[in-house]
Amino acid sequence: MLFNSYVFIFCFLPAVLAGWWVLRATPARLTFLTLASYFFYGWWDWRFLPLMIASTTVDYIAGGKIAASESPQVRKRWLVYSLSFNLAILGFFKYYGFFADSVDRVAGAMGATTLLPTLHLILPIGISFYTFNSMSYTIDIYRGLVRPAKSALHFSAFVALFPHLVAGPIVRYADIEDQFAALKTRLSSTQAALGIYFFAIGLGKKMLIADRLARPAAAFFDGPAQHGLLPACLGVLGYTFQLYFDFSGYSDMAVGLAHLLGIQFPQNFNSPYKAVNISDFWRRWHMSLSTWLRDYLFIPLGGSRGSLGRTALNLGITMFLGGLWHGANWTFVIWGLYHGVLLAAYFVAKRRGWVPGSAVVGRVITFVAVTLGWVFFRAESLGRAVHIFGDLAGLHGLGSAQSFPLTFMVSLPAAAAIAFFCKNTWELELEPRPRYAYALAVMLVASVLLLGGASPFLYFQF
Amino acid sequence: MPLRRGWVRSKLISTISGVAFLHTLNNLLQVRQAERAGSESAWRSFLSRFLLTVVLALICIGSLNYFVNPEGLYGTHLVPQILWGARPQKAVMLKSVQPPPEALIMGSSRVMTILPAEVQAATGLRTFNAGVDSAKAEDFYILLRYAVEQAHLRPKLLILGCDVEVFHNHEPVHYYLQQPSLLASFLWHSESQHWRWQTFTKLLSHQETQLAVESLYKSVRRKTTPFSHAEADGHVVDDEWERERAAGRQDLQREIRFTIDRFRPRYDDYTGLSEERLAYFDATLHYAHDHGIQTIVFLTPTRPAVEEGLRQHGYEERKQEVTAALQRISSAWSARFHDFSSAESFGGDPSHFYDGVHYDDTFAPGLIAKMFPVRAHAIQ
Repeated sequence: MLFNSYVFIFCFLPAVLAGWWVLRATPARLTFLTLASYFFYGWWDWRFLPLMIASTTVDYIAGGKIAASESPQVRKRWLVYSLSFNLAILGFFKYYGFFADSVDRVAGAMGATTLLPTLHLILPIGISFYTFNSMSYTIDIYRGLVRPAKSALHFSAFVALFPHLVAGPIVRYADIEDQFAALKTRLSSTQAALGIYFFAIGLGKKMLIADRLARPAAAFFDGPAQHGLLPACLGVLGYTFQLYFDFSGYSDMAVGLAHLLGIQFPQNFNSPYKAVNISDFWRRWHMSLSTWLRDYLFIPLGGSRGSLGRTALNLGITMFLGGLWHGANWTFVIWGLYHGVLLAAYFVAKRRGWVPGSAVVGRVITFVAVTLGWVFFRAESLGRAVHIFGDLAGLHGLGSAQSFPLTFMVSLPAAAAIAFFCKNTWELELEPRPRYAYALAVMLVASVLLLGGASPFLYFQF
Repeated sequence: MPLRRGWVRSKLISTISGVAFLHTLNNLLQVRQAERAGSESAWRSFLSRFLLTVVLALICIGSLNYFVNPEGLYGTHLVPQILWGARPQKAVMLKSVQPPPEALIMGSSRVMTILPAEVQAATGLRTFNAGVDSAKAEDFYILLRYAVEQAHLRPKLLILGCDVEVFHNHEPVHYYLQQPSLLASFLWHSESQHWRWQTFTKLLSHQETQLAVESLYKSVRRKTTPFSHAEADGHVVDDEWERERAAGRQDLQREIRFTIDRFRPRYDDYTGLSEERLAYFDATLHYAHDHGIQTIVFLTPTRPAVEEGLRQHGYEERKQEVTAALQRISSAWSARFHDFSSAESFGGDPSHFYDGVHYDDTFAPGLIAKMFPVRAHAIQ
């Protein structure tokens, strides 16, 4: 089920909110929320529910065993079980096809026959998000950062919680633990208003901005080759802003929905296109993933404590895996490595004092570097990405912007102005003024009217 | 008629009363809110105001779309319907037309202007134009089976005008076919369970609202003059266009630009040929073959400027795939295929397009002459 659908807004959400706030006993409420979240997930394809329930069960048991044992060997063994299970299902469903295809290509190039069969697996929606949520639980218990969940129900509700289930933010149990321990029984008007505010803004970002840019950007990336400089600039910029408004819109909606349940989620975007350097960008973009990669990958690898070379290598490995997390395709691998190189280069430049002092120059350089990176991220293949870089370099002529409709040409500068100069959803201070209520209502109604032509969120594919 | 006016008046009064009541309530809330800014109760007022505005706006928009009913979905008719419901109307006409036709023309709005009399002159067969708007392959199959099994016609000739979008792999089945109806009963997969829900969601859609506003605007300007109508033989006359042409207000370049803008999103989504639609088309020709109906298939013309405007959106690739599919399936069922995608291919005058894809009835003689080189009683 999509947040941006009539069935979610007019049926599912009112029913869940009514049930959640009418029920009083915590077990009943958590059971209700878990079942509702399973229903939300199963609406897409119920066959993948057992996979999520299996992941939940394994991690709940592993978490309990780790917490209950004093023996380092036992604790490590259960952690390995948990990580292996999660990485195995992630690897099988998400990466098997990519791996088999790559192996078979190499084998084919060497004259051998097909070594691994192609299985045409369907990628379970949200698998990357819920496996990372669950893995952080067992790792944090192993590190002694959180207590094990009070009950299987608490943990199931945490994993399945529908606002963050399919596209994040990646919430850690530590973020939720205390909130689940003392569930609110009454929704304050302040929190309800905040929930509505985040939800309406998020829906507006998606429906009024991202979706206006979506079709022309997709037509550019997926259409026939040979475009030229002008359409390439428009197509790449269109995707750059579409991705931001799409994903940050989804995150805002998730935060808003959590507020409506009386729960608080962490911030996931902080005006990333205002970043003054690439390191700053990663502190602002998909923050829940960046911090996850930092805490569970970069720091265990040694972080920036070692030599310059070692730090650069750690950054490269972290970003390579971060790229691979997004999708099983060489384009994502290259995108991850590209960011690894940018981060390493920035790290070296900073140590040597080569970083430009001007924030404006820093912003421009960072935005251009990030935008070029999106070409790898979005292109269907490396060949297509290279062709687009050729367009951007002017190798295929100037081209024409004729194929970009007026709505796109209006939405693009508006999106850029909002991303570069306006406060983000978290920075805007909502006040109980009538004009804010009316503005939000108008935004919500305008977005609802566009639901008929809504497209799925871009991050659903990950 | 007085009864109908009274009903409309009472609905309008109740709507206006509702708006007035909510406006008063809103004013009360505003006064209270000003006094309590910053407190929990101020937030409560904020929420009330927000919810009230949302509910009120959705009720107003839903009511507008329900009463104006631009697509004829709800049974209400405050103003003339802007979109003519070709499917149900053609189905009724097929059953009642006398004498029963022996030849059927099927296709999208692009074939609606083909004069049945021209086909009759060329073939000697009484002809009915069963063209419906945005026809896809399933429309051919459904209308043919309906004509034979429900309207009890015995056609000898079937002329299928196919657009490049005939096998679109992402456009849903037309809304009318999702309603429980005799036509929908021929669909392989019934869509009627979603019908009520879609009827509701359409009330709150931008597309419906835009049509409703357009419908109101046109009605105010033109009172109750219809926008188009079908003659007894199914031939559709676009009254609006005829009026515009008579008044010299036609702007062809604007119409072409509009066509390109309208078609771009369709082609962005048209990423390949739908297997199911190909199967429907195959089943149509199979059915015609089994019932001894001679079939002629042709690809409808498109203005070169539109083809150019859609080139970057995959038009050329889809056209090639569709042409190949039409040739292959036609050949498998001994049907004739003509590629009339350019006006020149049948001696048509490109200036007789009245937008990017629709052409006036002067195209028909050329098309028919190419289809039936030996005129009169060619098919008996």
